Amino acid sequence: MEVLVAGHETTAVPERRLASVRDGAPAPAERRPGSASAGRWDDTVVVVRVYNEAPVVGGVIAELVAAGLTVIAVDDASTDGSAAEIDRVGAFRVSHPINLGAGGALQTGFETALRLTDAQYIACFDADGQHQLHDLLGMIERIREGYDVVLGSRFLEEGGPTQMSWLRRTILRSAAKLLRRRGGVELTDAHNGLRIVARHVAADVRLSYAGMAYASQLEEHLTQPDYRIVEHPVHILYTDYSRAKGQPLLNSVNILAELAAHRVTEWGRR
Amino acid sequence: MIIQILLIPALVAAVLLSLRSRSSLRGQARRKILALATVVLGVLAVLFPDSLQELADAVGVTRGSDLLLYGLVLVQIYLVGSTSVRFREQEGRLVQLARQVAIMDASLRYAVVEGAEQQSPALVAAPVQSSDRTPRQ
Repeated sequence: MEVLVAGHETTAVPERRLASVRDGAPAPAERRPGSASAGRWDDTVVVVRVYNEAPVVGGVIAELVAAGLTVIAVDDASTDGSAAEIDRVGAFRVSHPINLGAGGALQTGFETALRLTDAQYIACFDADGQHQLHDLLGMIERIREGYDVVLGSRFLEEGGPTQMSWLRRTILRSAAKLLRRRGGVELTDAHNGLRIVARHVAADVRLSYAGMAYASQLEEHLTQPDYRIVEHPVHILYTDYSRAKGQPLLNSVNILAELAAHRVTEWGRR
Repeated sequence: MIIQILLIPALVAAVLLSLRSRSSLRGQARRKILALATVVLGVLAVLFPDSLQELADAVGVTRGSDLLLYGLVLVQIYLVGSTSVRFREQEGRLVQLARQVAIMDASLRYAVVEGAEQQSPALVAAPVQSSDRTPRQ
């Protein structure tokens, strides 16, 4: 069953366009993602989805930029001061003219990274401050060992996992078991927003779900047997802010319904 | 009851078929045939009111108008499903359009050029073509 690609033709993304520019061809580019610094993390671009996160997004991105990472911030038509905050801290901002949802924003981030940078690795990082910079850096070092995909897991941590309610824990653990894993990959966590993928993996991603169900679609794609995949322990900070912004558990009903309707529609189609 | 045997599969079929309805030519043709059949059946039902009752009696429904209601509900379910599929397809196109606009806008703002080979046809050839055309028209 080819749920991932069926029916939705995303524009073919040409690979490594900017490589020629970087190799010394005359480029009128004053600034582009990937050119900010020639540091240790030069091979990685971080995609941050931003939707009305003005109070925190500046601090989150500033920390990434300060560490020498290139940040593509996808502003999903925020109505607060998020765009100004992004510009202030020096990320490459891509602003949707209309709200496209979490999956739409991530796809935009991937396509921007592929079209405008020659990054080898593309990471996803949440704008609400629940992810830790050192977890991301650890994941970058991990993927450099030759993996295609590194997924963050809240359940691999030593000395007790991230604090979360038992209900959330139970639902996430059972989701991790129930969600289809291709190639029999055993994952301990589901829908963790901290991930990093190699360039060729990102080029194959076609997210077609509008809502949060994109995470299931993405995981189904990333766990295909051709990819070398590994989980990396991460610690999620559930601050009051991220808790207030986070998904209510009842949203899992929306996600399941969206997945089911899509599967019926796409089943058996090429 | 014959109607129970008929209605339950029809209900399931209405949901499944509607979710799988396509905007392809074949799908459009099917919908048109369905629409035509509805008109013909409607006219027949008006011309021969008793026929609806006879049909109801045959499948075990008390009144002909009840049978009509069942049919109407099935059509309604199909319509809701197929409309949501069409809506989703439209949404998919909108997403791609918005994404292209966003990336183009960002490229312009930061003066990023997507590869040197694309720069010349996009930035140089376009004005030449348009100035070429205007006098001819």
